[in-house]
Amino acid sequence: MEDINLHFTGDMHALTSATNTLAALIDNHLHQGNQLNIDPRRIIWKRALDINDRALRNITIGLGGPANSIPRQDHFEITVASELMAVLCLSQDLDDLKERIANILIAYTYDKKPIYVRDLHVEGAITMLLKDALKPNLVQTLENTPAIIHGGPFANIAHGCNSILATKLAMKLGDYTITEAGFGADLGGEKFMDIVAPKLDHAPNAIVIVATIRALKYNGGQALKNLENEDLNALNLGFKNLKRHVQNMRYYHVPVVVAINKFATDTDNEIKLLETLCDELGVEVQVADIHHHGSKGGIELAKMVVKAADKDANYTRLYEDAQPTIEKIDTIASEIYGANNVGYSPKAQRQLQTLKDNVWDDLPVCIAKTQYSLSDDPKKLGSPRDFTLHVKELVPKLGAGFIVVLTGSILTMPGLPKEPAALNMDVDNDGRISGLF
Amino acid sequence: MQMSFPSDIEIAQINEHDKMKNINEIAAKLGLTSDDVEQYGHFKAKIASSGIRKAMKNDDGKLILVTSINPTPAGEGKSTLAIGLADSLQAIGKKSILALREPSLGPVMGMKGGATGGGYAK
Repeated sequence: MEDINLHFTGDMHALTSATNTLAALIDNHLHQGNQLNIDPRRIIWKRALDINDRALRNITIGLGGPANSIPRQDHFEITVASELMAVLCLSQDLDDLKERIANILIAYTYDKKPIYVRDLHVEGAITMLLKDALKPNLVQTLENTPAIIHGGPFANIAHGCNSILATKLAMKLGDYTITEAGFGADLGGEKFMDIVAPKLDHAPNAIVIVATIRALKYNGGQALKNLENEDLNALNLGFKNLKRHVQNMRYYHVPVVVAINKFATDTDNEIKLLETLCDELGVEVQVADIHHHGSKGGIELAKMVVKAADKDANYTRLYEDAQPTIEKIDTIASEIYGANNVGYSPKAQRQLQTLKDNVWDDLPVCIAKTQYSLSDDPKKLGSPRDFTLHVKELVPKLGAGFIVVLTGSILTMPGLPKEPAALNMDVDNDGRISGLF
Repeated sequence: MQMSFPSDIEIAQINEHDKMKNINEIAAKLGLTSDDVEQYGHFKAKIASSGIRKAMKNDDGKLILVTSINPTPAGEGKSTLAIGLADSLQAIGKKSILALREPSLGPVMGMKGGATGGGYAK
């Protein structure tokens, strides 16, 4: 289904248009006399494109004199990091979507009073642009299993799951819904359990943690180019990363299963060692060879998951929304990430005060952190402990209903690598494409 | 290691036309009629408000969350596994369904991790 990766049913384009329409309406308000007294230096709403384009992270707009709007610094973020994407994914229906859009914080006035979309009276127009994007998309796998594919917020800079509507609908239409949370269990997993599950009103009946022997060995220090060679020592060391994620997911009191996604280079010794290590940890483990055998490679895993999902779960959240923001961040940092300290930049400290002053302190927190490490340093692999989590900024996403906590050097507009995948892509005269994975 | 295998896009292209069913047939498996979906071509549909309202009357099935260790350049295959697990559940007679994210074009042009699975699981 290659066009899932391309324009699909246009949801991303609708979100991009809606985000930029709102930006244009804000700039028009400034240009037309600025009745709301918006401080152009304190506009938090950013423009969006669904492209990795680092050149648009910080731009100047409105140049060219009085006929061309008010000059100000602006920013682009990738569409999947935009608040409208998060809002779309958390909305139950069009009324809910409209209310969430109305509540989005877009700017502050010169007296530092918050300005919301509802102050501009454009929530109806923005909702209208997203009318069809809110409808979940139905497709199928190569084995004709139904798949609802809908919404795609990043898990490092947003909450990282498909829409609530899609998951709810799937649960109503099927006996077993398989959903995925982006990146590692420290990001997507935590956010699913603490932000999404309460809104779904249905916690997972089981959690499957995916690992590969190659990735564990990489976490244990084996060089990328050597991963095809057996290395029990690296596997043993790298297992600590898996162990932490298993322990973390156990906080939520939902049955946990480990799935080993088999690669052809995995040796019997390595598989045996991993099974032993999982046994010692008391977690069920199953090797699945789905890449080569499709569904036949996952039968045993499927049976194990059915059994796990029949067990009693007693879903517990890690924190309560009523706790102060600082306590919520502390809880995730220490319990999930393994930090022993949280440091706040001067800017973040001022923002903590703003959260209190505006009574936005009772919202869940959505931590933006590197996906490569449990810490905020992408180079700390394995099982880092006793580090400081550096909070540089807090962004209230009042439409989505959470506070985004930016840590380390995370960016909301990615860049392209030196040799982008685009170099390998092509299309022939019959419209057949190549180089897309 | 995977050199004897066709690439992911080749697998998708080879299999697509032989194996894919019209999306109305897939909707029918879920108890949705052609009025409950809005077709986008033969293989894609949006679920219409009527379909959503109808489905919401059903009871909840079980929910399985697929997550992973920290991602590495070595690859974990979380989407591949999620898709394969749904296919395997279907193969043992369970009525399974996936709920997944739409991939962003940004990373598609940049680096692997297209969020639509790999190999024969997609």
